[in-house]
Amino acid sequence: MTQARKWNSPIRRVGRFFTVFFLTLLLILVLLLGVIYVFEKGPSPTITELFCRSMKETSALKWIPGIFLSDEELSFLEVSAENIALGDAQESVNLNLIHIAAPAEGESESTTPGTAEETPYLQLIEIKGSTYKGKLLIVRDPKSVIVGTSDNLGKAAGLQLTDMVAKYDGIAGINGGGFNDENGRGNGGIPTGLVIQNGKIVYGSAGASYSSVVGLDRDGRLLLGRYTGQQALDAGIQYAVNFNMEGAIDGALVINGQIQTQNLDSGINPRTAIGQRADGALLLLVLDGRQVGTLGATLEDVCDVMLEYGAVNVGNLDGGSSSVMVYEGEIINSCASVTGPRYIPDGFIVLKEGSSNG
Amino acid sequence: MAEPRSSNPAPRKRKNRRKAFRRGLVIYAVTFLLVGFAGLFVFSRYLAAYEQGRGAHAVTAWMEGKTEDDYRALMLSQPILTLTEFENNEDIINAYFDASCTGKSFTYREAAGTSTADRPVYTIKAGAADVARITLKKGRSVGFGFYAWEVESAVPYISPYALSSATIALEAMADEPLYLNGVAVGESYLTDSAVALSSLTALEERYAEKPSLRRYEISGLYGELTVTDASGNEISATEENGIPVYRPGGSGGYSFSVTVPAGSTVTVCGTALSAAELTDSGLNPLKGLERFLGDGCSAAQLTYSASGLYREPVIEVTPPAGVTLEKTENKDGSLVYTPVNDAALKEEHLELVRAFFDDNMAYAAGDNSHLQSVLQKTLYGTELYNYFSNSTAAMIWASDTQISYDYLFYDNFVSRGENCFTCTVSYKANLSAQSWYSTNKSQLEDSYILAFVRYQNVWYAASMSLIE
Repeated sequence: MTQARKWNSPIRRVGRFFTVFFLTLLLILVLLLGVIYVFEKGPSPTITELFCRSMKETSALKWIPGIFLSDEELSFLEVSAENIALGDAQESVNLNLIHIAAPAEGESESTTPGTAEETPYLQLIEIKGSTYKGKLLIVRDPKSVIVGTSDNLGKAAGLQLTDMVAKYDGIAGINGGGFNDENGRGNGGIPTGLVIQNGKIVYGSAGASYSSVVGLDRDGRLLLGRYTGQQALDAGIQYAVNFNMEGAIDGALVINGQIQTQNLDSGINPRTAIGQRADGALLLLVLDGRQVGTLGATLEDVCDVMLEYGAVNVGNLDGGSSSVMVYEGEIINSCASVTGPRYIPDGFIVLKEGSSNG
Repeated sequence: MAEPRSSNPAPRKRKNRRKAFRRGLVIYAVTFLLVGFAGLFVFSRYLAAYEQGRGAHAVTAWMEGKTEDDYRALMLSQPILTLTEFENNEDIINAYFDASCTGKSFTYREAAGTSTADRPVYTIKAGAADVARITLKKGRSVGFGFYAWEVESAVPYISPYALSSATIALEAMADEPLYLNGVAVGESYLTDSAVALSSLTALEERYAEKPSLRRYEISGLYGELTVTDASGNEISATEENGIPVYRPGGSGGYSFSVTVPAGSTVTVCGTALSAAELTDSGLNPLKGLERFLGDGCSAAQLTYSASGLYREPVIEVTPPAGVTLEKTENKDGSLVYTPVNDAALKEEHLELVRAFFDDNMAYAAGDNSHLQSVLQKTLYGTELYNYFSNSTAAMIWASDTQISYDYLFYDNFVSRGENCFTCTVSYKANLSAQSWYSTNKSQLEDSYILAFVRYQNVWYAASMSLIE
């Protein structure tokens, strides 16, 4: 009876529990390595590339592709010479393709369509693909979209998008350009590139050259590509951010209706993008990812969604855990950030109808 | 021989329990791993099927070995764009291919919005430019619900944004045919048959039917455009309200210059010319002879001209009564109407003219004895008479004069009414006058219009006008 009691003693039971628990963890780890092995060394080169790109785009998991693949085997992640050549020849946005219609007299002030013929001020559309879900906000009047920033840009902490939209008395918004987040410890207040607001450079410099600039000119026309700060101002850009995805040549995904294939190498991740239709309407897109039910989207998926909704020009914005869309004071997408919505330095803000950036 | 039983069953029981636990752990781990690896194996097979079921493989296989010329031929194999009669598919596609595809790498991507799971569609691209669309159809099953794909069709394709079509306007007079890329622009493109012109010349303002333009608008043009008029002259465009507008002659490009004898009537497109178009009154050999011939007498050549005309000027000249005109067109297109030489008049008066001219030249050479003769042949009271009577040209004594001509022509005898005629004399004369101390030699080469007036039934020289 004493021995039986010993066997059933609480300490022994806890010991047995932890033994099973750690063994299970070990087995899961082994299986996880097995899964990674199948992804990296398995029979599908397509999946291998997609997996490695997805991991590489995720700052905390960049090391995973290197578990089973050598640097040489990972060379496909580098930008090809062919894509560099295509990037050098990347065309400029042809503003003649954008014909912004003047608002008709007596148009409805409401945010919902009054009649079938009316184009609503804002249209919110649910997006669903094979590996992603998301939201698309169509803004009829491109002049009602501005770039909002946090206070003391570059010096103080960033703002959560809900607060940023409120700061500008906006009705909606999406996150914007990239920001400094070294080792995941950034405060979201320091942009990594150019920020232009009200026709002035508020972050970055006039002489420096920036790729992946996404800007709006005086008429609300979307401009994309490589600019120096001064060139952006000379082009009439009133609002701009830029986001350089690691390893990408440029963030322009579609220019003049043409997909920029050289800029599409990507994995599956949460995405934010802005596009413009030929009638000037802006398309603000957020696709969720890194979650059960919505793994994420490639940049090709972003193009597909944007083209389906008539985009002529599309620029990629900061994705991953930063992807967020606010509408009427609420975050309406499912953020991938485990610590809640991130603090960001800038974003595209949709002003309430009747307001204008001009 | 039986094994002796343990004297203490508790340790054995504990040992058995440990053994059972360990065995359980091993079985658990092995089962876990077996199930897990079986799952991984199935997953691996699934990925293999997924890879085999990617439409991209069929497209890659289709593209293998294809050259730039093959893609060009594919693009030319059937029309992609809806073209007007002014352009042809081959020219447009070749220009597109040369500009956007030549020297580029040919790749592909799935066509957004068109491709479906059951019918994948891929766009073949040269760099960023579209070339063709490949539609796939299901082949054999490769498991897990995936299929190998086969190419069903390959058709040329260009994004609607890649080649933006242009709209142009052409404005011309009704009788001015225009040609776009060598093809006549037909009435089906007419959008306005009477485009008012705001900057008409004074002449065209007087037209009974003022010129207006006919406007043609042509859309759906993709390539280089050449607009020409009926003569094949290329017409350039001006940008107006965002579209290029072509007008012959650069908007009112017609002009004319016509020189006619005074007294002629000139009409342009049926409208008589007026002082507004008179740009040169010319030399009037009858000037100052009004007291003998009456007011309005003139033998001047008047020049009328105008430019900036929209309608091609149709010029008609009616000569003065009794005068036949001869038309000459200069290299610059200007017209000169001159009276035709009246042979009968010449025959009748040649001796009169020659006698006067000979005396004039002899006097000019220095033979003073001819002065009186010249004066007798010159109408008293005219400037010419005064000129001779006041002249001192021959007041130097010359013992001998000689005149020889390299050429001497009397021509253009034209009646200027019952009592007047004009003629021209052209000459190159070598004059020599010898005095006691020297010999003067000179050479004269001139043309004059001589006017003769009949006064009291006698013909006199009345004026002598140097033709510059």
